Amino acid sequence: MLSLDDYGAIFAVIGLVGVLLLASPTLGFVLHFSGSEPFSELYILGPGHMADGYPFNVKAGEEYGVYVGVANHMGLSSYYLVCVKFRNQSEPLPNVTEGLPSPLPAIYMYRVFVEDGGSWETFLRFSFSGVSRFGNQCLVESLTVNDFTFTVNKWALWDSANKGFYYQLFIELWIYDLEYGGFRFHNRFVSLWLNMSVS
Amino acid sequence: MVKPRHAVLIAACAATLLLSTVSFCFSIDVHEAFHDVFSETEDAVGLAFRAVSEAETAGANVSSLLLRLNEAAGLLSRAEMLYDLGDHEAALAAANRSLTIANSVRDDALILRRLADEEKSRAFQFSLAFSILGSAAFLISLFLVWRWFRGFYIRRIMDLKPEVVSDAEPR
Repeated sequence: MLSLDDYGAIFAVIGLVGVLLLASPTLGFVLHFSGSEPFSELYILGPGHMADGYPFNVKAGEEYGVYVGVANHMGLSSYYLVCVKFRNQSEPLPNVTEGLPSPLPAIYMYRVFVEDGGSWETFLRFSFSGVSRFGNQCLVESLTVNDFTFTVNKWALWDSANKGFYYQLFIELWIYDLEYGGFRFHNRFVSLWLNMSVS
Repeated sequence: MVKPRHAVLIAACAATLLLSTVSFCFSIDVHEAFHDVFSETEDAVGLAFRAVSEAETAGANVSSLLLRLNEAAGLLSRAEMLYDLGDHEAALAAANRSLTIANSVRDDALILRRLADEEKSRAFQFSLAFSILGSAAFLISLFLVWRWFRGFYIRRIMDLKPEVVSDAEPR
């Protein structure tokens, strides 16, 4: 049989647990526990909305398309800048190791607000014009993205190993930093290799 | 003395020069006007986002504000691209519309934040009162139960106290 002191201890524990339970709604206002690590997703899908069928062999006058999406898991709503850039094989990509964006100018930009746990997606249409070949070099004069035509004048050398004139359409993700008061490169990018056919 | 033919030529040159100067000045004006409006709109969208974030942190539902901010942001991107493509008037119009939306979102977000803060404060006061009164009632009840239990326990122990029997036989 338990002694009176043992019963006293049981009553004290019941009292403590009860008080903690009754105080928990108030403690919820005061204590904030950090959740999982915040992150953002940037993805690119083929025209069939699958991770295949991406445009690869391209030529002037044809229209191509991919889905571009951003998902927010930052714990709060975020303001993103999605920059579409175009490069040849010798021009720089973003440096993810050092967290630096590509110095190339953005051809097309999306500014989007995404709720925490939400996502944004769009269909990016693009086509080329003024594509010509000069010996072992290829020139793309203009790129049309979503009906906006931009002069790019981008040269590419013949890639003898992969047999083609290779360009890359890549998309960088930037995020609005409230402390900084502007966009910062979010260290994420996706890209699409394009083999330019010259007829 | 200037010949009439030369006078016409000089007048034509002067007119061309005047027109070019006016056109150049006008293009500078449009350029500057757009850059002023564009940077003002960019700042306004940033400030609106800050206000929306603060309202969200205070516990407000900001879904509808984000939809409107997306509209403002889309117009801002469109304005930038239209300007790059040389359609200055359309760019300026898009930037102005974006600015109007961003300012209205910021105003609404500030109101929403104030309401959310008030709601949060009320909820906190209610929770605090519930916790204090509930804990007090619980502890008083527990103390009363303890007192009754202690008396019950002692009585039971007393009942179990062995009594001396005079005619007991030793084992």
